[in-house]
Amino acid sequence: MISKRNNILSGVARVVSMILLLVGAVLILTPLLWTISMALKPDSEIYSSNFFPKVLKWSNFPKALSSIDFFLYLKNTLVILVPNLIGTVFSSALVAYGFSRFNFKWKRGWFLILLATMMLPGQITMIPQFLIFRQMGWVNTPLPLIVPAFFGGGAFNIFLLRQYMSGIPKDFDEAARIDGAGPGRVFWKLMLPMCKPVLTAITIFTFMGVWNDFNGPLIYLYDSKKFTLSIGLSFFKGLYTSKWNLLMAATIIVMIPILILFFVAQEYIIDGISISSGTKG
Amino acid sequence: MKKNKTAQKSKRTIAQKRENRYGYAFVMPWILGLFIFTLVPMIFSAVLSVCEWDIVTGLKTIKFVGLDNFKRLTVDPDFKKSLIVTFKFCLISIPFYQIISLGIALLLNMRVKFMKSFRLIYFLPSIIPVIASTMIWTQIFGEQGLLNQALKIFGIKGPAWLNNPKTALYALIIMGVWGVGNTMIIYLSGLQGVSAELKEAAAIDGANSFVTFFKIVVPMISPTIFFNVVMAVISSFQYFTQAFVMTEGGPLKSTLFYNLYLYTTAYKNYEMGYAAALAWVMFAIIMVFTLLVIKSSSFWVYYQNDDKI
Amino acid sequence: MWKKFIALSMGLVLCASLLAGCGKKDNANSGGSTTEGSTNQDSGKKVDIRVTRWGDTENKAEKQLIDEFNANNDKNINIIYDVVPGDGYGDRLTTSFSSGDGYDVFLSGEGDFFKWVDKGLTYPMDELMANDTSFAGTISESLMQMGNINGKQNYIVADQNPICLYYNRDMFDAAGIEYPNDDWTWDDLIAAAEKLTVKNADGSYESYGFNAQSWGYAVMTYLESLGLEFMNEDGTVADGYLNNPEVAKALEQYFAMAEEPNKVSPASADLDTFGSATSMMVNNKLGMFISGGWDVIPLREAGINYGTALIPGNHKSYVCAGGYAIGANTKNPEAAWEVVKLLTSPEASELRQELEGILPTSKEGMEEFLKTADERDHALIRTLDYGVQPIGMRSELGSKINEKTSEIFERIIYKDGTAQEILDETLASLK
Repeated sequence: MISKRNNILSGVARVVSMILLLVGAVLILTPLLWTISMALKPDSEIYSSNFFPKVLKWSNFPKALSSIDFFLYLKNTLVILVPNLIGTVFSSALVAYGFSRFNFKWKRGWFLILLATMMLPGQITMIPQFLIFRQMGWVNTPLPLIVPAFFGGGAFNIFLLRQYMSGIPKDFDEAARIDGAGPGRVFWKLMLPMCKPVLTAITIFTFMGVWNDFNGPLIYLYDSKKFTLSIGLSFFKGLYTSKWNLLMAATIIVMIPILILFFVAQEYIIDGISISSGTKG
Repeated sequence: MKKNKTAQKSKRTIAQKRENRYGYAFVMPWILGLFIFTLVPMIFSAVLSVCEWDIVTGLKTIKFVGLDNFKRLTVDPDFKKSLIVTFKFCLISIPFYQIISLGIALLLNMRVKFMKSFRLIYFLPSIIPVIASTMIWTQIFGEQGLLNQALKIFGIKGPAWLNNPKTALYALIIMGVWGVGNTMIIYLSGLQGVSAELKEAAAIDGANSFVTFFKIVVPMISPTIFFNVVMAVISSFQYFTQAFVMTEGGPLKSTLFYNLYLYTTAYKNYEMGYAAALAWVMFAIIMVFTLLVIKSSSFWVYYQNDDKI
Repeated sequence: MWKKFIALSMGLVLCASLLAGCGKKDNANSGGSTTEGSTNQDSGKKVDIRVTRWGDTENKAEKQLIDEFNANNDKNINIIYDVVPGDGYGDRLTTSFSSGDGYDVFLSGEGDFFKWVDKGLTYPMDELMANDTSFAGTISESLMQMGNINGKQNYIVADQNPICLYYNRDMFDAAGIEYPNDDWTWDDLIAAAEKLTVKNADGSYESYGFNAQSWGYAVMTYLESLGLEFMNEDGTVADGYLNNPEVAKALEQYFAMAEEPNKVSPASADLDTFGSATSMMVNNKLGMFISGGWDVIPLREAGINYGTALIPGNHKSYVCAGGYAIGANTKNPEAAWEVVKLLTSPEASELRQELEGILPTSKEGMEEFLKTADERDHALIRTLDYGVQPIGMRSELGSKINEKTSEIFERIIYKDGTAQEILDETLASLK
């Protein structure tokens, strides 16, 4: 009886939530669709108020590609991106494991310091940071944009992972320890796989952060042959102040890799090993 | 008896030593990074807050001025103005964005058709580079923009949102809803940890979904909520980019966010010392609010293990 | 397991330091040149001169000049050229000068001329010029004067952009109005703008006559052409100028053009939807606007039938300019001077004109331009005879007032008091 009522309720809930989702999707997609239509407009129609252009100008895309050195910038971006992903994922997981599983001395204090590092506006630390990297001779190399990722991978990621790991019952690792596994092995064989969803989220955030970072490359990379895509996009803004169609086309091209990554990765976030299924295994 | 006690004690110290050794070994990369990359700039800026520095003139021109910078804060109308704007923004946006992103995450956590596509759609806005999203929104908020065209259907004549001192701040808050994708993803991954069995068990016990949500789901994801709230506090107080690109603090300083004022002070007026003082005041404010959230967390955050911060 | 873990963390650190190693090698031949530059000429080693300017990847003229120079010069100079996107140029200059290095040669807009000199970032070139016979007279006197700040030649102007009136000939023809001419007053302009402004049935605007924008230089040009100013010519006095009731009245009249009733100009809110004034004109939605020489290329490329005219009234107008300066921290002023000379030479000016459509900087070049250029661009050059120095370049006080202008205009537009009150308050705040 009760379960039947619940079923009807959940049926209603399902319909309601479906409608909500659809409404939200329309709200999000309208501006996006409009962006795409903007990218396809011929020059003469940029400021006309009609939603869809009369003729679709697909050639805006190759034109946008050819006016900046797209593939060079792409290569430079990847050179920074790949090590960042590796460094961030592994080092933040290591540190978060330390914070969530060991009661070392002054842990609380260290953790507050970790949070505190995020509280000082970056605009203020930018100059001293630059001075340090300059002292190291790293200016005009991608190193200032890469190396820090290997030292903890950012307070945000450590904090996020630490929270997630704290949600995993300690019984698991203790069971493994009784079986003779040391902390390193527990981390590698148990923790990392169990954190897959959140590690995937971190991968996406890091990807987006590096991909869209403008200030870092701007300050540290002098030589235009070392520039990244986000700087290229900004060149574009200067080049085509009034040609929004081309700017939008370029933006869409730059967005595509993140889109693909997200579509592939969401399987791991959502359907990856969740904690509850971990219990069974 | 006595012997036993010392044995226990030494056992405890051995265990503690072991915890220390492993704990520090694991967090070592971060501690190293802290000392090499983070701490020096922080200390440097703390020193600057009692100094005067034009930045462009080079390090040699840094001059000690004592507490002058902090005294100046008390008579600076823009400092007060920017503080009010920022607090207003935080007060509205922090709860608003959390509820919306958690709501969306709950919807996206259901098993309905096309869920994958829905998830992609809801995450899309957070992917768009700021250069592009600000352009899109500037147009949407225009007097004849998409938003007002939509309002016209309901017979409402909307203002030029970003060009009106009364509406500009709210326009930025509305725009921010578009960017909740990251928070939403974190909620979504947290919701994955809530076991379906627990929910089903509760349902069988006759709990309605409302009760299930507050008695089971919320406690289970409370560490995630805690994370998102702390991060929202830290980042909302430092809101900058969109206002910098779209309104530059205007019209009539109605969107003069604290960090925007700080940036102008440092890089337009070249008053790095005063900017550093501003930064440390902000640091203190964020710290107080973060500590409040942490203190309160013992009442509402439930960890599987005894993992209180 | 413990060992494995140590191995992993060691690996991470090793990775990082390895990367660092590669970087150092890389850096040796590109960064920190000012210090290396000091190992001077007679050792036979090349002197690196670091040059920066804002721009896009297509600063073709600079690139071509520098490539040729690096390949052929006999002075042992190697130019390292950094282009920075316009959005980030300020931050880049700031960070690079914060360390005390800075650049050997950098480009600055006229709005910052005074500021950089005031902060001591520039190296006056008077002596270098005096010792160099090859330089004299290649650049017009008035432009040299622009680069002369506090009585010293701190900048050499490389490109100039006088501000003039652009108009859409097709729209004028369609409305049956005569084109703007040298006798126009502002009343004539407003009368024409009223005829060019077309309202739709639903109350929205089909087209506007004029763009009464709040961009500082456009407003100041308007004031100058009415014989009004925020301060005297040598930049010493603002009292009696800034708070002049005539100025307040003129400003209110100007911004009233973008307000109901008698609206003949888009408000800044309308521009958000329509885009820039240039694109509005291209789409026949705007009859006239005031702007610099940079708008010639987009208008030409769009293929519309435009024209230029002198500013109405007494024709006085602001001139925008970009000038190269030698960085105060340079170790090799002589070599830097060679580079400034290269970048401001008649050849450079010619290249810029040819590749980027930028106006010539030499007297001969301008005369040549008047003979050969399209008749519709003539007013651009003729405006130069009426050029006034922007207040920001006149003195420290002027530079302060200049930074306040956008706030003043914003407050007038949003009616945060009467124009007179706002100007009085601004004057008071300067003391």
